Amino acid sequence: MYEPIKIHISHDEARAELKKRWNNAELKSAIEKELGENFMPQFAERPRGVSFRQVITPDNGLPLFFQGAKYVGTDPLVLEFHDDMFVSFNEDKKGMGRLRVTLEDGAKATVDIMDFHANEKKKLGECVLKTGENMIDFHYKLMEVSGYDPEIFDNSKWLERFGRATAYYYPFFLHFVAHGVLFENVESYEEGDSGSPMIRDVTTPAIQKIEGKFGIRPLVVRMYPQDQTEEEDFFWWDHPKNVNEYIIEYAKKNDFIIKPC
Amino acid sequence: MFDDDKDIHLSLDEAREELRIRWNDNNLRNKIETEIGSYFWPEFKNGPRGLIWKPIITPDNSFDLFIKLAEYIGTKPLAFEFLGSMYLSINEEKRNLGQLRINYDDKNTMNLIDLHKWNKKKMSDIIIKTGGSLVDFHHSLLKKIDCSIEPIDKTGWTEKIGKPSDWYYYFLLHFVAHGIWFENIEPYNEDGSEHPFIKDVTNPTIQKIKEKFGLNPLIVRLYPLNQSEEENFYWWSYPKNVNDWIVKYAKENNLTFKKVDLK
Repeated sequence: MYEPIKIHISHDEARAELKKRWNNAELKSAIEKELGENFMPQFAERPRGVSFRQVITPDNGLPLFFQGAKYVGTDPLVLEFHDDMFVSFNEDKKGMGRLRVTLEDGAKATVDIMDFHANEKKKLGECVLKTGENMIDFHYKLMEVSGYDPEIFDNSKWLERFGRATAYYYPFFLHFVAHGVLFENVESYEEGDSGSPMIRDVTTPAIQKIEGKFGIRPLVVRMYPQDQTEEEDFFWWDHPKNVNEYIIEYAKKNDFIIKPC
Repeated sequence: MFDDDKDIHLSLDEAREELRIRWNDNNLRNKIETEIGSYFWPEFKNGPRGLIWKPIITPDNSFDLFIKLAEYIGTKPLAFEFLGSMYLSINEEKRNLGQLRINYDDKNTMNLIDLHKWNKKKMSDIIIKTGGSLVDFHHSLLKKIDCSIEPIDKTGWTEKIGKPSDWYYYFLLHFVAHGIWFENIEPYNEDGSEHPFIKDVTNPTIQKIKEKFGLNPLIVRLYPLNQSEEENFYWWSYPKNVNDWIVKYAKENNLTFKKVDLK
């Protein structure tokens, strides 16, 4: 029987709890032993705050993650998945090619920088923009404009060791028991209904397995607020001012349509 | 300590949920506005606000965090400053406005003003070593970050009421139903002694509000508790874009860096 579980904690709780767990050598050693060769080396030397995104982009969620990771006493790390497949029906992935912008008069708009059909089912690392440039290079350029400089690492090889996505959640979440904090919204855990099949059949059992084995849950802090208005939803997809201006200039330079929402 | 010995600070999700309930309680908002009377800030009238209140607004890392936390909670970020307050080099927050924490090769400080000369002078009167006003310098830094916030000087508002112990009640009332105050209120100093202002002013004011309205003001921490020295340096220092600009400015104007040794 599926039972949704509460997983998100506050920044202060995460900070206090991680400090205790990181200083618990026995616990850390038990986790590292359980992970074996699947232990990610980035977690060995210092506690990490992680955002797991297929491709990093400096939307308004990035500064919140970056400064939030610092707040909980961790060094920010973005884990990416460049070998994942681009599918335009997935809103997160489509957002890499359909950028939200705010115009000078405050109006909201979108800019399509990618031909979605032409890139459908390509690896993210192979997707190209209408200008011909690599999609990931474009988002990295936006990172430079933003000024935020978290460590960024393409974790495709680690993820591919496990074959299917269903297999990597357990080792992935294990990294957040004593070595770091995951910044992510795992809404369906708390919905009270049966949740999505992925949440019900994969993520929840992975967390329950960890709890059964170690008596504690991974540390997860929300990346965005719950129950957002449409305006808030747009805001978290949108970009900080300097990045927003860069995108609008880029769109104008390349004659891309800026479509009002 | 506070009435029920519970931490006054809320988590982001608690603050978001509670503010939504209170903002939608017209009866409560009307009562608060009546109590504040002519001291009510017009900026708090048309929607829930997230407030940072500093002697001078500067876009350090805690300010950068504040902007996004305010958005998370569902408030419009506002920055009020107190330019009529006195510069005191023994007060860390005030000293740092004239002695910036800079990352340049290593961790450094850079004196933007003559700390001795301007000690106990009004913030708005201070002139930096290169000749401009200290206030203008910090405001120019705001243009370097993602910020369309225009700081508002509330010196006149405080002077209209009187001493801090007099205006604090009206100040905190704004955070019962109209907004969130982003600040750390730590009742104890590092040596374990009670902080006099918190003991004598903050606590009794919060008690008074609680007795009158049955609610605490909504307060969210601006930086973490129990910081290491490195973390302390971080929250006073600046996001990379701003830091890089200050380094360039310092070099162009022959301002010197002094390395900081953190334990």
